[in-house]
Amino acid sequence: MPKRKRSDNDPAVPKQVQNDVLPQKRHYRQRAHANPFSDHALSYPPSPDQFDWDAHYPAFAGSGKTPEFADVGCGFGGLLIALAPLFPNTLMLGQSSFALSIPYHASRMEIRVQVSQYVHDRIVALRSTSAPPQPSADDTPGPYQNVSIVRANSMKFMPNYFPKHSLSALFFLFPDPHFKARKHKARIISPTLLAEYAYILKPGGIVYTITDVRDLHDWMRTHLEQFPLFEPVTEQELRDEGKGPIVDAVYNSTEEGKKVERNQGEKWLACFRRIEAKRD
Amino acid sequence: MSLFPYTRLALASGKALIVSGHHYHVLNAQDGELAQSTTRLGDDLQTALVQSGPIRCTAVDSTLTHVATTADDKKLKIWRVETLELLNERELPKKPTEVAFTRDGQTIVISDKFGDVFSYPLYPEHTPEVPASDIGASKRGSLNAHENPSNGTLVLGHASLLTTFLLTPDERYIVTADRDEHIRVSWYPQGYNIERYCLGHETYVSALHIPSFKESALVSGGGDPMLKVWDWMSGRLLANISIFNVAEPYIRVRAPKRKRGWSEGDEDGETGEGAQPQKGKGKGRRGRGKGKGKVNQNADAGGKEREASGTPAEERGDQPMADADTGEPADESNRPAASASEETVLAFVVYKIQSVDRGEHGRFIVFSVVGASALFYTPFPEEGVLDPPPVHVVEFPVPVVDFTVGPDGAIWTLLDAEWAGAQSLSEKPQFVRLLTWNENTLSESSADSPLLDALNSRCLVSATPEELKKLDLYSDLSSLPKNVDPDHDALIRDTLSEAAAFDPDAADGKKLTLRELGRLKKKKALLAKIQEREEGAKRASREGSEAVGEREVKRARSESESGTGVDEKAGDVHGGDGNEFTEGRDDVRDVEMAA
Repeated sequence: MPKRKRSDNDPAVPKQVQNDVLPQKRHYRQRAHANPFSDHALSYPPSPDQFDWDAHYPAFAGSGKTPEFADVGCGFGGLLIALAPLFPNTLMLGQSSFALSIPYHASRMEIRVQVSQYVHDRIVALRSTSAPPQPSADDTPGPYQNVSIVRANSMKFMPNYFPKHSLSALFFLFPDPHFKARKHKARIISPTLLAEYAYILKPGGIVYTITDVRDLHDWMRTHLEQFPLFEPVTEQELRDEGKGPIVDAVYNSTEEGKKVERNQGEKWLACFRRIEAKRD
Repeated sequence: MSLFPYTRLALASGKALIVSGHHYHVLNAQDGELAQSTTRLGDDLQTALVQSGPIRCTAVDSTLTHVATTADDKKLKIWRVETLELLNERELPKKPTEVAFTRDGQTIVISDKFGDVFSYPLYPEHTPEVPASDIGASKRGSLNAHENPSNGTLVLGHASLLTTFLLTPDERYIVTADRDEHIRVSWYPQGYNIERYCLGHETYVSALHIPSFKESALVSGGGDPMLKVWDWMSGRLLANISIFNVAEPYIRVRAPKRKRGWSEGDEDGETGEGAQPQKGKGKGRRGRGKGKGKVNQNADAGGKEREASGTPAEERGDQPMADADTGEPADESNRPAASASEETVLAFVVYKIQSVDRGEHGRFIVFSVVGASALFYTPFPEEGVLDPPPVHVVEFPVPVVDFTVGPDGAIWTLLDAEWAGAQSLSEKPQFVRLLTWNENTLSESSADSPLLDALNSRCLVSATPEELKKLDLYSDLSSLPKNVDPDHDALIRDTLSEAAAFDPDAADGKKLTLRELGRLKKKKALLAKIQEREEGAKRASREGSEAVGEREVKRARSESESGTGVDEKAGDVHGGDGNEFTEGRDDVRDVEMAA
């Protein structure tokens, strides 16, 4: 298969800048899965209020804001980079087991450059190349200042990053199917993990799931349906609520999504709304 | 002849239940008369008990009408105390870590090693209808992420080993703690709704307690050098109580130092990695588990460390965890050659926290530490009191296994009188000691207690050395600390184990492309650099010159980093490998991590 320079297609940046500044994927090698259950030397904050959000979102420093959108397993960051300009005052965070955390710990030895250092570098490049030449009249922060990425084990440490009821959108785009039955427990949607997702989501917040694997779609949909704190919401309802651009981004903005299209695969969307808890 | 140390004492309704190895007895708390004992059961039942292994978790209801026990066989046994009748036996999905009755005694709640909490009705016939778990089941099997052999009700789950839990006094909430520093407050029985996290611990949490005199407070402890006091509803930290400096000198049991191996992949936790039982321990060894026999003579290897680099990280498969700790005979053949000095590390694990209200004399937190030969107590931090509270000590000749606060505030302390380090003592210590309060001071009681006498003389069950070894009272010292060393990131380990495993002179002479060869060469160079760095660090620390060691380490690291840079370029020169980057998953799904 011929290699293509994917950076050519990054819509966000003018052509002449791309070749100079944007990172090229061929320089970043992929690596194998990380087992979410084993103990990795990933640093994570003991609690959300001890996390340096200002380092990730310097343009919002001192605002006290925490992310409202979270992309679990964000891969190349396509979703957040598509959404960032649509919601410039909403902070968004991508999580990946492959990301480098910011700030970069110089004392750590890195063997291989992971996929999401690519994303990190991409964000940095976008922030600097997309900034308007004059400071804008209003106080809108420059583009892409509202998107960042962390390396995190989402299965274990979501509550360490996100305060209770802080997210309005949680994304699971083309998650790892973990086909073998014995690997089912490693799936990102499970009856027990859903409690943690419900905790970080505001009541009314939306979980977006999409996959091209029918089995996985059934799995996620069934577990979300059975979970007392989520109710299904249709694509049409979401569009009616004005969330059309988000749904479009979920379908189309990721590398994985584009790949599925190239291979003429089907995409199954399943979205759910977080509802209030009740003591029976 | 050796005897089993007691591992649990429960006092309620004028009765005392004491657990000893595979057995338990029921005594009259007033006169110490033996009412019941599993040692008096028929042979079949006794054999079954011995086969199940030593009793690990015990729970009694508030009137000591029923008792729930679990052993090493993942079976939940419910007994009627009065007649010592085994009412029922149910299989649990995973090894339990804590068992408790609800206040009404009708439900048993169990946390397990996998991270789940299940509840079971007292009688299995009352099990609620289980929804059909095969809705839309694909060819690949059921849609269940959780095994559930006895139709328990899944209350909640963490993605980490659950060490302990408790139900709040009104039973509207359940507080669960795990190995990954989390304390979670969820609704009960609607465990799917998380009310709050109490976040702030920096190591495993192993003990929780809500004092009866302040039900809005939660006291927690684990591997951190302090206990934490929370307002559990809001998650707000109210106070830290510094305990490490006072407690540490009394810790008599240490965990074996984990050997860092390159051979294991990380696929399902580290099975058997570092599973190295004591070196140099012959058959003549007494005592359980780790180098207890040598504890007193041991020179500290590499200085004191707060956390043990203990045995494998949590194993989430079905295999029992921490095989190393049970010292299976099968491992004997794998033992490395005996070395002169035993390498052990200090592990700090708070075992249990309780509280006592002494009225005008004050309110106290009482706690024990795994392997420590003392009981500790400290005033409950009151609002507005800023001075760090004093931590008092009641010392014993041997490690404390467990303790129970009696209805009158007296404290029954269970001691490991069979501890191997006790050989040097002139007489065998008693297995139970009773402490009573005098105003605000706790000390050994001089009053007569028929129950105490009975426990120390008539109820002890004999144990073979193998059985004592299997009892392994201090396994938490190895199993709780996480196997994380930033210099040994699992990801790095995998790469390097590939490199280490590759032998260019291998007989099968597989042909590798130039590209692969180049990459492997770089990996080997990296491996060599890391080892060299380790050597440097080790050498430095041995010489006691920390600064030098650090500098060396930094130098070696930055060299390796620049080495990595070179590797990068080399990769490019080889033209990249035409990887199709995929987001979220590999093209090769379910790829096993390199062994």
